[in-house]
Amino acid sequence: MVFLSSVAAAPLDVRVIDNIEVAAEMNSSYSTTYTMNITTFINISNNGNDDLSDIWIAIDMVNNVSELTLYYNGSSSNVLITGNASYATDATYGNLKTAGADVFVHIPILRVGEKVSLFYDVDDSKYGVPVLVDESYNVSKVPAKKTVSWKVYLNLSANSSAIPSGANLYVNLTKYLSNDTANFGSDNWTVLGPIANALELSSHGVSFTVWNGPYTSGNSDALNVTSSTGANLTTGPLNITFDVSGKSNVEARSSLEKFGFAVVYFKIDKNYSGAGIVDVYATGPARIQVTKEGPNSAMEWNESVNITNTAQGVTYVIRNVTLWAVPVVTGGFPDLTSVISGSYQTFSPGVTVAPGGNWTSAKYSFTYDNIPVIWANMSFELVQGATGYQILEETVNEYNDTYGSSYIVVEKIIVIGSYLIKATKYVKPAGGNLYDIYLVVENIGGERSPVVWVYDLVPQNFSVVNKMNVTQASMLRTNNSGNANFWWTVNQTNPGLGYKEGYAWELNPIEPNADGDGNYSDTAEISANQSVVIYYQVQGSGDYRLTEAFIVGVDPILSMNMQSSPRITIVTGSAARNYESLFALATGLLLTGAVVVRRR
Amino acid sequence: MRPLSLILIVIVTLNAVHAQEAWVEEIEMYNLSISVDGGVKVISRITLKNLISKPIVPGLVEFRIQRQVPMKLLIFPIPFTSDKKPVKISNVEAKTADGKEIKVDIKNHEDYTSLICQIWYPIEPHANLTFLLSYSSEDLIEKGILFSEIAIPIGTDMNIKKLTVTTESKLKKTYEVLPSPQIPAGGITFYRAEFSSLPLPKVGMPWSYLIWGLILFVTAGIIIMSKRRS
Repeated sequence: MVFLSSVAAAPLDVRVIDNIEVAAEMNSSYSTTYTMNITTFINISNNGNDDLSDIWIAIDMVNNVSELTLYYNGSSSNVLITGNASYATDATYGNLKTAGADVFVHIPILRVGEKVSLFYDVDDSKYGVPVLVDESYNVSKVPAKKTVSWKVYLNLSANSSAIPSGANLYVNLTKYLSNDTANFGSDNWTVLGPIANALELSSHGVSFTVWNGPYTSGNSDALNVTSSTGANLTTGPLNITFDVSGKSNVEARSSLEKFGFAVVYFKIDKNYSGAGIVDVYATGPARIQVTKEGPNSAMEWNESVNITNTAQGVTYVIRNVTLWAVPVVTGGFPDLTSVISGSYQTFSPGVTVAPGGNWTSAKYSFTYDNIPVIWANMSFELVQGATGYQILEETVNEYNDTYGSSYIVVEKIIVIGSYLIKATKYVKPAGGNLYDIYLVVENIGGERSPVVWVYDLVPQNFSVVNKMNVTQASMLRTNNSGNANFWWTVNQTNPGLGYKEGYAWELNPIEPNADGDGNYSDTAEISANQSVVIYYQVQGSGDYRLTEAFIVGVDPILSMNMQSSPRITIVTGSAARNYESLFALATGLLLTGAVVVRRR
Repeated sequence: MRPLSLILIVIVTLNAVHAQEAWVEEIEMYNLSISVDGGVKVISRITLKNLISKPIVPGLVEFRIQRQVPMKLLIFPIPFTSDKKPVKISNVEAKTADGKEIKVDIKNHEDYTSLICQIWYPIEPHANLTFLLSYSSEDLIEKGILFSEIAIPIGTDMNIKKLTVTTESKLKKTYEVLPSPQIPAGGITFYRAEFSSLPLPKVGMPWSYLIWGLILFVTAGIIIMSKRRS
């Protein structure tokens, strides 16, 4: 899955590519851990039909923690890297802008199809991760030893504080289920997949393709989430959801199990690190001709210069031209510095000359009574644009041979191998201002639970009326109410948070393998002590708020309910030692021994 | 920090299992205030923080208090031995920081004593609840001839983000080792101190070893010298 370049190539292509390696690890606690590494590459390619020469690139490196280094030299010459700005200025006749550049690269010849690549490492601590991943599940834990299904909510968003201003960030992704330990999976999954019910909750118009991935033995265990250009996260986050099924044989009480990974492909149409190409200078095939006419009777000579673009596909801009004449030296080489008076002409035409085109200077006259030799030189360079050079910036995910992108989001969910308590609360109108409250406490794990505490709060302007009981009655471990109609272990008035009363029930251990449907009339599970139902009735009066009744807590820690408060155990005491009596005894024995010896 | 054997190891093991689970609470602040006189009075001021977006009820908070002392031959301690015992506790009192009552049950087990606080006050999402538990015990101090030692372990099955210890005594504190300021779930740390009625400065090691070692050394020296003269 790759992104197509939307920019046509110019003959000389200078591209700054920030290559970002990112890894994210999701946890059931809804936290994400990121690691990131940024490397800036500068790729110089001759995509045209003409050999190019004397290429100079002035580069502004930003937050680099290494020097600019040659990564690949596919040119027909050596590549020079220098920090000497005046050297670069001289070599380009002052046509290369050097202000703001840290380093200069010179490629003497870059023939058709050749490429040079350079790179430097960027200080990653200066940048945030471009694509943020937020993943959650509709359950925080799943039981082992039974096939369960959970819904994954995956949110990808642009880290707006990190990506460059005005940039667009495009993503596609592929989700893989895996029970292969070598590929971000856990072999505790005996069944994993299929992926089902994929749905976009945002409006990027992504399409979903479920296919048979390589990391489980099952089918429909991979999901492509794509659009032709990629979802543009700068216009809003990409929210998707899908269902995952699995069965784990985890034996441990609690284990954070990897169940696969998502591969994120991203592209930003700007440079991420802020590095920049300050200027580019390059030349190509050209011809320069001088014309000498004369002399006339007054010994006046005419001189002119003609410059022809002999390239097939590049356009030049002619910068500086100098024209001058020196005396001929019979049998020797003329002295180039003996300029004949009136012959020296210098000008900056600034004209562009297309392939095959030419430019001719005006004719300039000078007087000389002997034979002059006419000289001309020039500087020219490729224009910036489609027939010259182009500077492009982009940021892409680092390529990974195995997965396509190095941006791997590892996904985990807590699997409970022993017991797992789920509490469901129902508040049902019972006529008038009466409401039935059902607390259904189920053990959906594979082992008998320990003692379970269930907590509930009664809001203000409600009163518990008529009755309160536990089914089965034998499951209430401690009843401290002293009232045959109201069963509870603890009753606390004004427990805080504006609630009127708090109740707690200490339940005997609950048998395993309830189905977890929260059904308060499942007589089979209730009679098997897999499910315990606490029932009571409240009556509202005055300005009561029913929504405040939707609160429930369970203890112990292995609970589906996030509001579970585990029993807290604090260890303290004393481990002090004092050996003074032993020291005193040793001293006394020593003295006694000395006295005995002395008397003898 | 180091493990404290038996019951503490049980907690450490249990929490190694839970290490990657979603925590719903943590101890944001644990202040241990220790008054040393004839015995020791301990006031634990604990701030529980609700880490989730729903109210939670702390429910039962159990303090397991154990005394580990060397075995003794008559009145003399035997080095490198350890005996685990419950602790005699008196004057137990618990309340929230704003004065609301907390019921405490005391249970003596074979080798430790439990103080079980019942905290039925909900904590709002991401809010705190601070409670205090105080008790006195003469078992928490090891008295010698010239010096008294305390070594109090502190550990729990959830993260302690900040631990502080303060002491108060009419006696001079002659030696002190502060505990770790943060304890991960299942970890344990110790506060150690030595007190004496002698006005001695802190020298980085317990004076009880230094003085008695010195007495033993001088005594042996005098005996050897006098034997040589004779």
